[in-house]
Amino acid sequence: MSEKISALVDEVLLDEDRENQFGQILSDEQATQTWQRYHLIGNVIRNEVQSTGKDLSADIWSKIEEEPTVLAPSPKKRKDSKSADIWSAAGLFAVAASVTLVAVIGLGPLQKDDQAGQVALNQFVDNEVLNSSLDQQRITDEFGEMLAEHGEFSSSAGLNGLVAYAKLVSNQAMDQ
Amino acid sequence: MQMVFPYFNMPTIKQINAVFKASVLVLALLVNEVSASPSDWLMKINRAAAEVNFSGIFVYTHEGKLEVMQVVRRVDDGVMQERLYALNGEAREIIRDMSRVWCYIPDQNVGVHDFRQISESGFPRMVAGDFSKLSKNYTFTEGGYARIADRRAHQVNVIPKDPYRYGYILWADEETGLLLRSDLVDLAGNVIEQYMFVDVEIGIDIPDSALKAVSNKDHLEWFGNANPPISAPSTTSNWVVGQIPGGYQLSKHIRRMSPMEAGEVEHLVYTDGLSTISVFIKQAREGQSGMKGLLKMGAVNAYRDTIENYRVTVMGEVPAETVEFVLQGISYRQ
Repeated sequence: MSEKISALVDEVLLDEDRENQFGQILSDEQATQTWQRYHLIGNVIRNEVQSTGKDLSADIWSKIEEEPTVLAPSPKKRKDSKSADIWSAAGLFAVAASVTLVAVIGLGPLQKDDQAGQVALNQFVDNEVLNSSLDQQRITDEFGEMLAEHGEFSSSAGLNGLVAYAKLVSNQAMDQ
Repeated sequence: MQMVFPYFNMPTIKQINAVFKASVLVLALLVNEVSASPSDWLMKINRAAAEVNFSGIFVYTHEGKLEVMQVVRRVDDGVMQERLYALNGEAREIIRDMSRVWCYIPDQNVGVHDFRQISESGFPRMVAGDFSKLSKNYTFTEGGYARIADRRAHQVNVIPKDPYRYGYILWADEETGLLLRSDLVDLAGNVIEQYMFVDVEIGIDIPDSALKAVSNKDHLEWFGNANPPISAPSTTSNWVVGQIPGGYQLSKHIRRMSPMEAGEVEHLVYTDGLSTISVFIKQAREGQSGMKGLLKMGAVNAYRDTIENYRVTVMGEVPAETVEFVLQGISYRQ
């Protein structure tokens, strides 16, 4: 399976036939299983961050640790090609970003920002949100998606569009 | 009778042309040295970003960390292709063209193919607005010359006039205008992020081979989609962004299906010509009000809240106070 998809990507630009094949690959069961493994990667990274003991709010992680062994969030529902169409590819890239952002978010976003005097801002209005790693992953995915999309429109930094991707590459690298 | 010049031969037309062109070039360089203003340099940076081929290595520093990356960019008849490769840490690699992105994460056996959502004007430019508009919100000053990546670079300081945005210190290649270094500076003058070339070749021919991935693709599981994202421009909205710092204007308003879960996402993009603020609005799932508060991801600040059962997030490379300010002015219009 991976060889098949890899072969498609080797060509860099996909023609119509290849695109159809691509969609087929993505809709089958094995790809769904891979998808689960992919999310598992996020958990692995998250655990690594957790082990540093400095990146994530102790409260948040203590809640997650109390959960039974939930290694991966539920797989995305991609049973047929129609559902695959609904999926935005931009978001899939964001998913790659979000694997990183599981860690990245832990570097600060979910922590209280005492320095800025905004202690009260970082509160979860619904504790249910972080009561499971599934929800943690959902929030992470969502922010990854937004960050990637924002990056495409952002031109604030110097290298004109590459910056967003540089951040993603960099963030992933630094979390190893 | 033919005259004979004892010391030199009569110059040919070709030689005269060459001397003339050289003179014009010298004159142009002199004029440039004397009269180029910060706005000229910004325009030059802008043009170079869209037109210049280059290959080099740059460092990216943020939050006390340093990353080293190789980048290759080719612009051929307006068509841009790029390759970005992490030289330290894991060998992550990004390849993209005008509409697509391929992300190689070989250490995790993952690859992702993506369609890009970019503005109609092409890939992002540093200076999207005209200089007079920018001048209302930023002060531009000359910063002299420096040597960066063994090239002579001209410095331009971009200083915000209010606390709603960050500042920039830019160094542009004197010859081509390519941005060689960019510092993003907070209100206290601290550098938040920095990009700087340490080695670069500009204006060179980029072969196809330089744009191909070098990552080992044998064991990658690829994710992607056969179709571009479903999104559409939008001109109407029930949402009102009631307060936005001066100079920011709506540049993009789209609706699309969220790839992460069912439901539509409304995305509004505001820019002041240099920085960008995104507003994302998505209906909350039943029983989940989501989180509220400030998030920080490098130079990006995001503020999120739930309004009328919608999750609203404001995000941008702007101070935390700015994203909070914008969010607090957002309301739903029945």
